Amino acid sequence: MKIFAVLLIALFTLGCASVSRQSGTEESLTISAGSRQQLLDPLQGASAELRRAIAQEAEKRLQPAGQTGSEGTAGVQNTQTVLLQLLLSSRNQTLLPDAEFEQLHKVVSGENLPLQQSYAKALADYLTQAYFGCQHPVYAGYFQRRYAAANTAAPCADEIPLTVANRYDGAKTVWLDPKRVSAIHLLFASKSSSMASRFGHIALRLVVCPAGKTTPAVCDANLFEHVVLGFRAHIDELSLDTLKALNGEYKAYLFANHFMDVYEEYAIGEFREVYSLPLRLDDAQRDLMVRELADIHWSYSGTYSFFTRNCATMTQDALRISWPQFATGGRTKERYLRPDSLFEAVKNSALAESEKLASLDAAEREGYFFSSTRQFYERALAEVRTAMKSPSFSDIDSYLQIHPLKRRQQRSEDIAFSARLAADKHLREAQIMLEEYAVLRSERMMMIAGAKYFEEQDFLSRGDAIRAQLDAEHARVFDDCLLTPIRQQYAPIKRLSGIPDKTDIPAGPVQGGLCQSRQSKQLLQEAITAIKNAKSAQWQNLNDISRYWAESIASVNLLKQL
Amino acid sequence: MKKVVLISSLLVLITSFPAYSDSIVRVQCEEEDSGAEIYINGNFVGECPVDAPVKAGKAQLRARKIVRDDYEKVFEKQLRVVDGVAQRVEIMLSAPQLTAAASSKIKTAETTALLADAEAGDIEAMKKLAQRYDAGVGTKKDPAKAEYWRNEAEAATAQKQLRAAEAGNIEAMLDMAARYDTGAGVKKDHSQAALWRNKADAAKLEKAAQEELAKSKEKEISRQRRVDAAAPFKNVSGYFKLLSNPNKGEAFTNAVSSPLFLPVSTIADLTELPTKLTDSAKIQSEAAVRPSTWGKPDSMIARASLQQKTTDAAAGTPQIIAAVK
Repeated sequence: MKIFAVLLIALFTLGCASVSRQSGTEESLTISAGSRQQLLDPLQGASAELRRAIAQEAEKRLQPAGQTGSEGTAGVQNTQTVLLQLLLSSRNQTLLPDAEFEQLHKVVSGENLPLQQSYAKALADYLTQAYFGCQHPVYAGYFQRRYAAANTAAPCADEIPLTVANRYDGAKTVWLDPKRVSAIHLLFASKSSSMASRFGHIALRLVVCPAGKTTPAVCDANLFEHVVLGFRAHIDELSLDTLKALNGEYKAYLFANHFMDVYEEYAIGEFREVYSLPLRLDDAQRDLMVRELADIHWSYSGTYSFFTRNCATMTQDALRISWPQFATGGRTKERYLRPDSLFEAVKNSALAESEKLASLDAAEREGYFFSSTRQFYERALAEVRTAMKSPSFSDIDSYLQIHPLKRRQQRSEDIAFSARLAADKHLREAQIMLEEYAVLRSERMMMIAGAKYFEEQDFLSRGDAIRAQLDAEHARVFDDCLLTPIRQQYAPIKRLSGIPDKTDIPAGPVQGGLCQSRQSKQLLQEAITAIKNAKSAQWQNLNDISRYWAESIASVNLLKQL
Repeated sequence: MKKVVLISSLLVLITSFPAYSDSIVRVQCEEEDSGAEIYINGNFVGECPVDAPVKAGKAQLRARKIVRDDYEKVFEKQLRVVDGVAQRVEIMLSAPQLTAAASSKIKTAETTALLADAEAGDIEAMKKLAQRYDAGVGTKKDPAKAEYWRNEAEAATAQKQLRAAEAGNIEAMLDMAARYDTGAGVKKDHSQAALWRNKADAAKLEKAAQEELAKSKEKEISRQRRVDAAAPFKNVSGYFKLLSNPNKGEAFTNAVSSPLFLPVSTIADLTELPTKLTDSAKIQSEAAVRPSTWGKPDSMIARASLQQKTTDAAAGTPQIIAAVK
């Protein structure tokens, strides 16, 4: 059913729009008396204005008495289809999108879908489908406000899905009960020297409580289940093309990530500070905002531009449509192009608990501020240096530039240091921390090196030639477990229309089981061995960095055994 | 006629007093042993061959022949002499051996030498000397001197073990602990005993750590060989310049976006190394919380880490955080 709806909307966007303009004109659409009545039945709870407008439109298209229905006309037609055609062909202002819907549409669906067709489709669905409010809470709220029309709402499922990206195995669906969200924070990562982050980055953090009975303190400390929703560009190539980013040539989506991944990315990966500002929302507002953000997460597909359509503008747009106080607040109603400006404006408004950030020490204890970890690594490095007889590194940079095998050798040869590592837990933790940092850094480099190798070897376009080198079994695994995931990364992310339910989303990744098996991994390794280009500098780089990564992991494990 | 009667009477008289009469023992020998001195009950009775009158009862026969200076051949036998019954004994001399005088002279010389060694500090010589004074070998029996050299030997042994213990020998440390407990070779001192016992325990731990390190080192060498065998080792320092400065990693910054995102699992599948994704994911989750937990134990990150561990422990699941579940 949902798939049909998706297809329908896709057809509208890809060319059916012009067909519908021809066939859906006032002149060409005729409605039988029975269908007319069916159109009006769902409108019992709607405003008189809406009922009148639809009745008038239906009247204009009413089939002359005695004429039997030919289906450019509607006999006893599908109510939803008839209503959609009627709305598409209407010129009645009451049935056309207004400025508010236009704004909502930009935020929820992006600029790519034609406004009037989206409106007609949404209104037709709203009036005829019970689950529309669960799929599209933003539009449902709007229609209710505009037409005072409650659709025949079915109760929504307790849990809503989010696709949460994870760098280990791609993306997974996380099911979240909005009632478990105890707070929503505006999350701000301080600026970095990279052009893309020169004004920082802004997103929304859902404070998710553990399932079951709990307390606010436990919810706050449940960081591993907190979710960050942030607008980002989807860069479907190896590196960021500044010109394309400036011209808005990258797609933008509302991505979901685990908070701890975001924290690791900023506070550890980029040594940035992270501020988390609680928004003053009551329970109903928070529940609705979670559902509406989920709607945007599943529906939105826009374009990203550094200075005009970025995380700051899109985040405030999302807050504006979901939170009336934000839209009308003294400071927040202004438009901010920079994340840092937006964050300051919200912090200085009455909409946020800015007192939580008055003392950063207290904020760090309470989970409203997460300091850059640079200071901790530098302290750990200084302690390790002091304990070693003759350290061959002076700072984190020079530490990372020593191969992990060499680092391990130096530790083993320093007998006194080894003995201290075994006896002094604090020192050992400092040493493990440095090796873990090497793992994290090399992991990032490994991903870059892997992407470069893929790009250089152009596996995607050489797929047929590669498959010809392999037997059927190896080719299948190579295709399913390597090429397909990569192809999915290159391709624009598939958007659904609204929040899906459990029937729309498989219980688990279909490929996961296949590609995780030991036999498949073995086959994949064999396939890669057969086709690899060992002379490639990128291949050498990838394997060098992989060895560095693997040896750093071995070092961490050895240190933990002391 | 009277003379005949007298002689006959004397013979009868002699033969009629058996308790006091002798029997004849004829001692015979090989020609080469001819001339050996024959002693009956320690009394020289002649040279072999010889017929010796021996009183009835038990008798000790000893034959000796000097073959060269300080060496002799000997034969000894216990005889049972029956009154009025002559017996013949064939002697078989031993191989040449030191004479008793010569043996005594040598033992005395050995004892003199042991004394010199003992006075020079030789612990084994001290112990042997004590035994000789006890038994009177090579010297007169002298229990006082025996005791003196026994004590000297114990004290010297204790000093030797002390030096070994101070040099790190674990067995010597334990021996010293026992000595201080019992006062063997040292003044009894229980605190010193405890001290050496603790030192021995610490040394055992240190030794175990060293052995572990040695094993690790062997593993490292082995691993490095494998790595070297797989591909020539390359200096990655240049490659890591970008890595070491996160803010220069424009290509990878995720501030606003995700560049081509290949999951670690995909990359790991691609490389020549066996994948260690389980380790890697676990390390990533622990690495994310360790800096703040270490540097700021009262931070929310530290609290969250603790809470997560408690949750995982309660659920009986491995402590891998939700981010990688």
